[in-house]
Amino acid sequence: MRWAWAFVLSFGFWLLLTWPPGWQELSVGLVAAVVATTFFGRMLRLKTVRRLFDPRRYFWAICYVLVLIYRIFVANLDVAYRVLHPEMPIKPGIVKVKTVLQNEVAKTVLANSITLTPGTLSVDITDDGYLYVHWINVRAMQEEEASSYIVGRFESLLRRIFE
Amino acid sequence: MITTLYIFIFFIIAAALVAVETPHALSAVIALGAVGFGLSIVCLFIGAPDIAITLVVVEILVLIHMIRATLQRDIITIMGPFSRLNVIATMLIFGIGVAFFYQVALQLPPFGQAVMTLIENSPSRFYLEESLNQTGAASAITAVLLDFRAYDTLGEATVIFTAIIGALALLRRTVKRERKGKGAGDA
Amino acid sequence: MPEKEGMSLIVKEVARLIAPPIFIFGLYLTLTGHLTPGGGFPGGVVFACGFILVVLAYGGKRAFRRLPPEGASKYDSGGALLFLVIGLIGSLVGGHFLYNFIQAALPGTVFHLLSAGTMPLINIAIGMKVAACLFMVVMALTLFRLAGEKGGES
Repeated sequence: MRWAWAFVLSFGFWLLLTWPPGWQELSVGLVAAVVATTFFGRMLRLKTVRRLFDPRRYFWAICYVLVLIYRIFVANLDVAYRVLHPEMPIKPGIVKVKTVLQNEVAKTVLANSITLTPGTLSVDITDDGYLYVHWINVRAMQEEEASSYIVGRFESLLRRIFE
Repeated sequence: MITTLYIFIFFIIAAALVAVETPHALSAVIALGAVGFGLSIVCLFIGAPDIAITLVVVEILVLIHMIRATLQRDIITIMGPFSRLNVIATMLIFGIGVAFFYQVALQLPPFGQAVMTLIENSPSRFYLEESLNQTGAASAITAVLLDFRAYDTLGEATVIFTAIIGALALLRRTVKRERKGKGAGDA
Repeated sequence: MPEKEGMSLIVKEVARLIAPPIFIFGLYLTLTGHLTPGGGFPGGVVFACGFILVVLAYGGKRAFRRLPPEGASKYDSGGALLFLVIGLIGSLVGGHFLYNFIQAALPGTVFHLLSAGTMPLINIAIGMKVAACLFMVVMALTLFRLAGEKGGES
């Protein structure tokens, strides 16, 4: 089952690359997809594939992109203000935040979103759901408060997309 | 177009100077990466997309590896006594080189004009005109590489093969010896 | 806590998502070398990058179980032999080395995938060779570095 899905996904990517398909592209693509599956099919997780067929997840993903763009925009203005201000009101430090997300892809997207947002940078992630984040202006030292500042904005949407 | 090209070339030269002059190994590696990415953009501008693709990929690979290799150590800068003779000799040799290069540069065709448009009956023209009829390949570059000049490509592949054998032979002996030493220590 | 192998979870997840598309893109570059910019050399480099990404992310031990570096030398030699065999068949059929015998016998339609005779085959050979070579070099460097670090500790 896993191999079949890996084959279908690699064949789909091949079709995207060689659009429009003729019989030559299709037949060569079959061979290419078999080769790709033998090398990388083991890396596919079946749970991930099942989630691909839920249209609500796509809707929440679009929402997430919009929210992320808004957050990046606001944080950009904030960091620009801190850089341009003559006194440079920064208070850099590394805080430990807790995420309730269980899915590994969701954790990865969360960490990358934190890094993409100016001012915060995810440094490390532990197996039991803690993230170490470098923050340009530490507003909260406590774990719960810092978590709600940094992670809380993204978490609910990410849970709807990935879990 | 040409102006952009010049800007990128000056960017490459500046990055190369930074790479040579900086005291930190990591900064030197990153500046070297800037040189490579600048070169790949220049390749895109002068119409060599395949080389640009390869350059970008190789550059990312080399950069990651160099960063991993240099993250822990730093360059040891050796400061010696300043010798005036050395500087004068270097400048003299550099000046002679520049003079010769200038003479050569005067002979070169102007930028952007291929040599084959200046010479009658040049083989490049033949390749461009005949590649589609004779080989049936849509990409003239591949037609030259793998049909008209396939023998050269075979030589190129042989060079890679030999280089890899040499590199592996040099590196593997050290690895085996280290492993043996470690195994003995564990046992 | 299990022994930490490879890089953090983030790098592993990204590698897992992106390595298969990199591999297929390498196949695409190699197989359509006679139609678009690309060919065996860039395609092979892209293949090798896909494998190296997996090895760097998941750490040596786990990745080498699936992609042993010894297997790479087989692909390397296989690519070189495929190139030579195509050349020799050309010299047997058409009279000179690397003669494009498929194009002479069955000329394909230009701008289609199956055209230009032996060129896609030679591209595949070169792609295999370049990928195996680059993979072996990087792995040799990595193993060398790891061995050096371990030697330094003891």
